[in-house]
This record gives sequence, structure tokens and C-alpha cells, in this order.
Amino acid sequence: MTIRALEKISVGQNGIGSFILQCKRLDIHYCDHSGSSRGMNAFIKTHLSKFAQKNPAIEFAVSPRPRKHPVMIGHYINGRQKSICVANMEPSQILKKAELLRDASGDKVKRVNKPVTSINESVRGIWSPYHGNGMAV
Amino acid sequence: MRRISRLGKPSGARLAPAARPLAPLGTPRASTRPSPTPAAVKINTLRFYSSRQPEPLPASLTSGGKSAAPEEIVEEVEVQQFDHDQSQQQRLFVPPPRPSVAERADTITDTLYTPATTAEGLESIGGLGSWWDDPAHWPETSDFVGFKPKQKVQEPVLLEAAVRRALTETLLMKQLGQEEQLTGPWGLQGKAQHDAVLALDVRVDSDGNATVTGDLHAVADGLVVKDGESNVDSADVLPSTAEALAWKSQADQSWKGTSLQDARLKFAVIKRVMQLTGQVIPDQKLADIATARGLLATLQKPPKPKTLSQEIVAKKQDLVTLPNVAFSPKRVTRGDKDQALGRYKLIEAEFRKRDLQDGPLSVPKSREKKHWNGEA
Amino acid sequence: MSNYTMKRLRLDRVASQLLAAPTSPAARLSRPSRISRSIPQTCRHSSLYNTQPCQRRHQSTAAPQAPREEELVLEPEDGEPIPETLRSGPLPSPHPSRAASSAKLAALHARLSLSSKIPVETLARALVDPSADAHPKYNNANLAYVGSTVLHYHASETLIARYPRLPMAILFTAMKGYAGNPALHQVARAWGVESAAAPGEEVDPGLLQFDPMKPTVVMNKWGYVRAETIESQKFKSGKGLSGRVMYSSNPFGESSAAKALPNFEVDDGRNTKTMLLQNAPANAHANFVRAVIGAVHMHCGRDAAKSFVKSHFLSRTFDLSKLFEFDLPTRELARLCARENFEAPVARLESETGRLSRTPVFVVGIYSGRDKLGEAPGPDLDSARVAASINALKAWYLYSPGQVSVPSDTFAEDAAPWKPAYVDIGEIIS
Repeated sequence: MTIRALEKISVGQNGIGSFILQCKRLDIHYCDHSGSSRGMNAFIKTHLSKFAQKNPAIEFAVSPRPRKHPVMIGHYINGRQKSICVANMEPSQILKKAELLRDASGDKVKRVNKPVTSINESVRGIWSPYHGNGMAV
Repeated sequence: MRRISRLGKPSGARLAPAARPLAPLGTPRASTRPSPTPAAVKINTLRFYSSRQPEPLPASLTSGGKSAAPEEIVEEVEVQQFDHDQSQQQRLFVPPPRPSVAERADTITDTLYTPATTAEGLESIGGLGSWWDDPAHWPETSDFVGFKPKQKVQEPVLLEAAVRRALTETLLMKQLGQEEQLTGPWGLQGKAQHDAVLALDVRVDSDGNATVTGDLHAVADGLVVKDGESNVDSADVLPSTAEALAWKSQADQSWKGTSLQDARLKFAVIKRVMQLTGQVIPDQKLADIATARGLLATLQKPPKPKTLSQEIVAKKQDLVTLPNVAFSPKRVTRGDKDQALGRYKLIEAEFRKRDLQDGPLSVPKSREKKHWNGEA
Repeated sequence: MSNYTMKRLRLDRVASQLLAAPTSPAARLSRPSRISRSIPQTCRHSSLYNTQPCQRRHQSTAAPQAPREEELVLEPEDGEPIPETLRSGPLPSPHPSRAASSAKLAALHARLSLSSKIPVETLARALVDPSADAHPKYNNANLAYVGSTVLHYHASETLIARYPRLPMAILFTAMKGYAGNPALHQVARAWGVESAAAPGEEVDPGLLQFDPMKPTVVMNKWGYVRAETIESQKFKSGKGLSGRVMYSSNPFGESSAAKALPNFEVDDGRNTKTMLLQNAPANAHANFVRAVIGAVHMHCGRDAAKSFVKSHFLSRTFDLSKLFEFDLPTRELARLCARENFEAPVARLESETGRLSRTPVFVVGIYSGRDKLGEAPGPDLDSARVAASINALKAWYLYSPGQVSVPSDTFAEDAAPWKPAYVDIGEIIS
């Protein structure tokens, strides 16, 4: 038995083979009476059914929260949350925020410097000084 | 210290607590006098108004300040006491017993008597004890009965029948020349009267003036209330929904064109509708009502939904039926979340293990509520 | 390689009750119910999380019909009275009728892009571990067994057809890397499955329900614990590779890791022995994933299950070359060349730098005659030679004919006849 096996686990990359939407739940809170919720109430009445129909992979939990500003909270597969206070916003602005929460991955916002990040090896390989004819200095 | 709220709301014939001066302490007179007040009013009549004579002001207030002798005050108090010999059913509420007061030390002639210097070991006498907590002292009959019934009638057909009845009654009263009755109280008779009123024919001309034909006097007699008489015949003054539907299907709809421009007429109709259905029309809508049809439309307008969830459940069914949308009409509490996770029962079990309360949610919302209701 | 054979499976036998919707109430009533279910007296519920009133559940999750009144009376078949202690108390897991009203479940269904042929009730059942609900008609044990066989079949045929020279130990580990509990646990978490704090009737049916303190079911290769396995565990034999091939209880060459507890009988005793596990959450998540595969297989058919397995499991990145650990790579390479009638391997120094410095680099190539088998750099001549022969061996073992067809491709109606794939005769030194 000259070969032993080291245990490793395959790594999933979202979008390769299958895509899982990272936003799994959207909590929508409103208040019945406060003026800051007026836009949110209109959003729930006019936009929400269409938005929820287009995004069946997200669980929408709509519930009142009396005497509080309206809030949308996105819950993500990586366990993090993102919450946006939508007080005094128009329904169309709230729809934009809902789309932002839907499209987010749940990660902290990071600066991306490299155009491509990959876990695969470089196809071209790393340059080696020991191969080839060498270079005359 | 007893809370004032336990005294119950003042109603028409009930003695206002403020109007009855407290018997001054130290007047151990127990003489009774025949009451000069009129016989107690029948309770049912209270639905309209109080027919009792206005109570005389205490002598201490009417006469000059000089004559406010203690004896006179005691008499006034006794005059205003309820007659305990009155039959039990007519009583509004049972007054607390007279306080008994010990003799003053300086009036005692017994030479062996030594006043106590400390309260220890003394027997306590008098006081009301648990008098307030006895439910027998708060009978159902002492509850206030208002002019407007407690339950609002919301059904459109019943409202239509009620408006038609109120309009017919008002018109016939006016037609019979009993103008002063338009602002007076009318009796609440049951179904027989309702059918009799609806059987009358209402003719409306092009100006909106209506005339009623039929046996007007028989109906009018039932309406007028005589003093000291019960005016409620039966519990249900309006017909059932099925009966009202049957009436509506064959009734002539022209009565809805009756003009309500006459302010006295409009007042009488709206008052009667309020008495029959419990629907109050707010002042800002009164001016817009010109015809019976307008009145009916104002009454039949469904009430505005109070919350967003009510509106969504009523109108936006597509949102509620979406499988991925969970819609909660009430606030989602921490306990609800714990329960959905299955954690609640664990918390409850831990509470029970420590012999604490049953769980984090088992505390009643307001302990004060119990006190308000007069429970211990 | 010849030792590794797939057992012929009759999947329809395992999960037939899932698809067979009971036709009459009488048919349902006639099934014996060993564990009686009844409604608790009180049911506190909030509307968002628990919208359905408590009901006694009917017998199978296969029927998404509303339960009727006459179905609610459950009596055991033999007329033997159910003890009162069993009657009272809440259900161990949510009633199937609550599945339709769970937003979490609907979202999970859509997130996995499952076909509408798979009812949410089945998905809800896939989320109930045997440790939460011991009744085999309400937990996912049977579905998970179907799913595990489907998953192992596709994983093994893909691995063998694509890498025909993999040594057995590597094949076992690769199978585990694709379809083992840790990998499936990660898949379940990547699917956004949340687990309940404790299973129960009032729990949202969209949550994974298991109880780490209760016995559960471990998926194994045979569906039951074989007498040989118990024997080999007793005498601590079968630890070698041949023994692993022969006696392992799962497709990863492992004998059952958990200790069998004789008194915990969860299932019918038909499939599995009941066991207490070390890593119960991972096992529960993995069983859920297997049960979803099983549900896809049962409701949508073989092809849908295959593409589901391909897209969710076989598409995961897995570098097989990282699995190898050699004891004697140079000797193994020499034996390989002898076996394959190559010339004996020779190590040649290709290039070097800084031989006398602190950090020399030697590039050594292994040649067999004029053919270069492998090459590697190293800090000294010997380790460079070893690394080069490891590279040569990996190049041999990880040979792949590319995208080749697998046996399951021929299941299609209009498929071309099966062309036998090349599979190597086995390991060089075993």
C-alpha cells in the first residue's frame, strides 16, 4: 500500500452547474399609522406582489412593526443580514432598495481590485527560469 | 383608598357622586324620612332620557352660607338617599351601607372608660370591607343603556329597511301635524310595528316632497312615548336579513328620492336611524345629504380598513396567495420566532424546571386590566 | 477495479409508497400505525409562522389533498387499543398539510429550481430526519436511501469513466469528497437550509428538523448492516484495502463509524441499524440533500435526477491530484514501467542553479528511454527526483480520456449502444 489518500471536500462555486440566489429571505416591516411608512405601505400595495412573483426563491415576511420606521432586512445564505431603513421613501425608491438587497451576496462590501478572481490554476502556467533557452544577458 | 373608577359611569338617572355630599362624620343620626323624590324611573325608559325631575340643589348651596348648619346637611343627605324599600329590580345599584362611627371620647359619660393610646389590640369596626368586590352589588341592570344600540347594523339591506322605516315614520308624524314630536323620543317597537310602517305607501313628487298614505294614526300611536311607560317592545327592532331581502325585492324604490332639505325632517330621520341601527353620521357629512338616497349611500359605505393588513386581505388577494409571501397581520414577536424555530418549548421547559412562570409569553398583557374590571 | 461493483437496486420498491397516493380512506386506515398521532389540546400559533390549525395528519405525504374528517380516525389494524400515553402529546414533526402554507418551504423549492412535479409536501418530508420523527412514513430515511444510491451511482460512474486508472483508495476518497457527509453538509448549507432548534409540531415545515440526542439512520451501501461487517468489527479485521472493498458499509470504503446501539429501533429494521452519531448535524443535512435527490428521482424520473446530480454535485471543483500521498514513489514508478513494458525510468538533471548557495534549485526529469515521464524542481537532487516520480505517477493515475460517455447515457430511448469504456486493471503495488 504505497498510496494513501488525503481527505478533501469538493468545493462548490455558485453559478457553476447551478445557481442559488444568495438572498434567502426578505423581512418587510411597516407601520400602519406613521407618516414615514406611507411610501412603504404603497410599495406593499402596488409593487410587492409583482416583485415577489418575480423572485420566488426569496421568502418574503411582511409584518407590521408599530411606531417604528419601515425597514427591509435581507437574510443571506452566508448567515449575514443587510437592513435598509426606507423611511419617507417613495415606492419606486423602495423597489430599488429591494432589488439591491436581492442582488447582494450578503458579504461585506469589499473593494475589488482584480478583474478576475479564481480558484483554478493558471492555464498558461507560471514562468520558469529553468526552462527554455534562457535569455542572453 | 378606593379608586373612583369603580363607581361606574354616571348615567341619566343615576345619582352623580359629586351631587351627593358625603355625610359628615360624627353625626350618628339614623333617622329615616319618607323620600320626597318621585318613584324610581323604569329602567328601560333610560334608553332615551331621564324623566326624573331635576334634583334640588343641596340647601347649603341654595341658601346663604349662614344657614349651613350640620343638621340641615344631614337632612339633605337623607333626602337624597335611595329608598331601600323599593323593589330590588328597579334599583340601579346598591349603595354601600352607612358608615358606623364610634362615639367621641369626650362625649362618653362612663367613668371607667380610658381612651387607648395605641391602636394595638383595638377592634376595628365599621368600614366597608369587601363590599366593593361583591358582584351582587353591581347588577346587570345598573349598566348604562344609551340611546344608540351598542351593536352597529352594517348590512346594506337592513340599513335600507331602517332608513325607509325612519323616513316613513318621520313623514307621517309631520303629516299628522305633530311637529313637536320630531325632536322627541320615539318608542322602539318590534317587528309588527316595522311591518306596519313599511306597509305604508310613500309617494314622492318631482320636487322630492313625499306623502304617506295608509293607517297613519295606528302607527303614530306606537311611536309616541308617554311618561313613565316602557317604550321597548322586543329586543329585535329590525327584521332578519332574509325578511329584509324579501321586502326589498318587491318594494318600490321611488321613496329614495325624498328630499331631506328640511332640517327638522333630516334631523328626525337621522336621529331615528341612529336609534334603530346605531349608525352615527358625522357632522361633516350631514351637509352633503340632500335625499334619502344620499343618506342611504352614506350609511352603506363600507368602513375604511383600519390597517394595511386588513386592506391587503380584503383587496390584494394575489399578494396573500403567493406561496413565498408570509403575511402577518400582527407584529411578529420574539416568542413567535422562537416558536417557529421550535425553541419556545425548550425555553418553557427551562422556566418550569426552575419553578418560574410558565414561559416568557405567559405573563398577561396588562395586570392593570384586571383592576380596572374590578377584579381583585 | 474489478472489486468495485454496484449493487443492482430496485428503487421503486424502496420509495413506492411515496408515489402511490392512497385512493380511499379505507385503504389508509388499513395500514398499521405503530405510533399513534393525535392532536394536542391547545395550539398556540402566530399567523406568520404557523398559519394552520393543528390537525391530525393523514397517512402519507404523497397526497396533497386536504384531509377529510373520516380519515382523521386512526386505529391499528389488529384492533389492539393504542395506549393512552402514546395517544396524547403533540406530533413529533409538523403535519404535512402545513407544508403548503410555509413560505420558507416554497422559497426553498424555487431556490433549488425544483420541478413543479415535486410537491412541497415531499420537500417538507425530506426535511424531517429520522431522529425527529421515527415514523418511516413521515421521515426522510427512505427518500434519502433512494437519493444516496442515485448520487453514488452517478458519482462513481463519472469518476471511473473519466479517471479509469484511479487507485482504489483515491477512488474511495474522491467519492467521499463528492458525495460524503461533509460535502453534502456544505451543499445543504449552500442551499440556504436552516435547521430548527428542536423538532416539533409547531415548527415551520421549511426548517430542517433533527434531534442530535436521538438515534437516527446512517445511509450505507447495502441498506442494512451485513453480518460480515459486524464480524470484521469484532475481530478488527478487514482494515486493509481488500477488506475495505469487501466489508465496507458505505461507498467510501469505511466501516460503520458509529457504534450500533441494539435497543434503539427507529425504522422497521429493514434498511438500517439505528445509531448515535458523532456529527449529527452533518448527517441530518446530508440526509436532507440525499432525500431531495431521491424526491427528484421519484417524481421527475431518472434523467432529471441525473442532471440534478450533475449540476449540484459533480460540477463542484475537486482537484484529485491533491489527494495522493505516496510512500515509495520511485519504486512504484519502476514497477509501473516494468509492468507496462516501458524502459526502466532514469532520473536526469535538467537544470540547476545555485548548487553551492543557501537555496539551490534542481530540476530533475524522469525518462523512460526517450520519453519524459515527469519533471519537478527540488531543493536537492533526491527530493527533486522523488517529486519528479510523483509527478510521473500522478500523470499515470490521473489519465483521463476526456469527456467520455458513462453507462447511464444509454438509458435514454434513442441512445447509441454502449461502447465499453477503458478501465485500468488496477493499482501497481497494492
